[in-house]
Amino acid sequence: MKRIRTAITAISLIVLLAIGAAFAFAVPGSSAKKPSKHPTAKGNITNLWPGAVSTMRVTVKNPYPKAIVVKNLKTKVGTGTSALGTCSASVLKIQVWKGKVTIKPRKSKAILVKITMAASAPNTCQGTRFPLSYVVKAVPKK
Amino acid sequence: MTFRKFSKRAIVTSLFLGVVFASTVAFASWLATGSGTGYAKARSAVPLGTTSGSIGGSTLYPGANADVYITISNPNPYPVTVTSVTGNGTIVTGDSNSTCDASTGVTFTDQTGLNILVAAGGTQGATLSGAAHMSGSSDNTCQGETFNIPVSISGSSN
Repeated sequence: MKRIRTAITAISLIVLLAIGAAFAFAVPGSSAKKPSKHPTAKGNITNLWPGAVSTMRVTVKNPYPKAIVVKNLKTKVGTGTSALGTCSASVLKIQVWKGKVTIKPRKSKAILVKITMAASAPNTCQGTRFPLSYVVKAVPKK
Repeated sequence: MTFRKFSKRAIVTSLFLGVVFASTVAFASWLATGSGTGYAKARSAVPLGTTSGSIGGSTLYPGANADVYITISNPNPYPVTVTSVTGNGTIVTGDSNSTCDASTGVTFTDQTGLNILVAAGGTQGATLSGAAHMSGSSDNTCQGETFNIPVSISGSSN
């Protein structure tokens, strides 16, 4: 009897953890069939030059059936490459955006991020394309 | 006795499982993290423009030096500092005096260490003091002529 109770307890624990994990991936409110959906971000900018201060438009998409509030958008810059060679990512400074932008269910919204190219960017940075990766943090709208 | 022992264990287990479930759901409803990619691209510099250098003001005659005037245009959206102007071709007369052109006797001294600021999208004139020289080999038909001095310029963004 004691073994049966232990087994039932263990199974219940595993099931609950699995359900919890499923919720964590499906937040907020998406169906269990699509557990990997997350907000996505995309945005490009061209025409940078030494000393340029520009505004980059990053579009965040809400894949959920409920509204979300985006609170943080961070951009990571990779090493740039061009026909002239490579260019250090350090010549670009991109603002870590913090705020509150509500995005309706399954809709997108643009967030404006300040980007600066150092005036000291070397000549080899001409025509360079820098890969960017975004990380978005959002919470469900209450 | 057995029943009471089971109840306690059941209560503790239920509470534990409840806490586990609540914490996972709480986490789930709190934060959603997303990601994406993009790129940032730097433009390529557009070459500076210049008129050919011209000799003005001071008179040029065999054995003399004269100032050279140039106009530099910067089509880039950022300011540029020109640091050198160098001769870049044959110096000829403005009105194509072929006899004089065959022997102008005019030379241009390359200029380095300059600091000529040209604004973004702007045009800037500059005087290169004593940069032209006329030697004694200048043909007699060169009297009264104007001379065009082809130059190339180089500089960098500030």
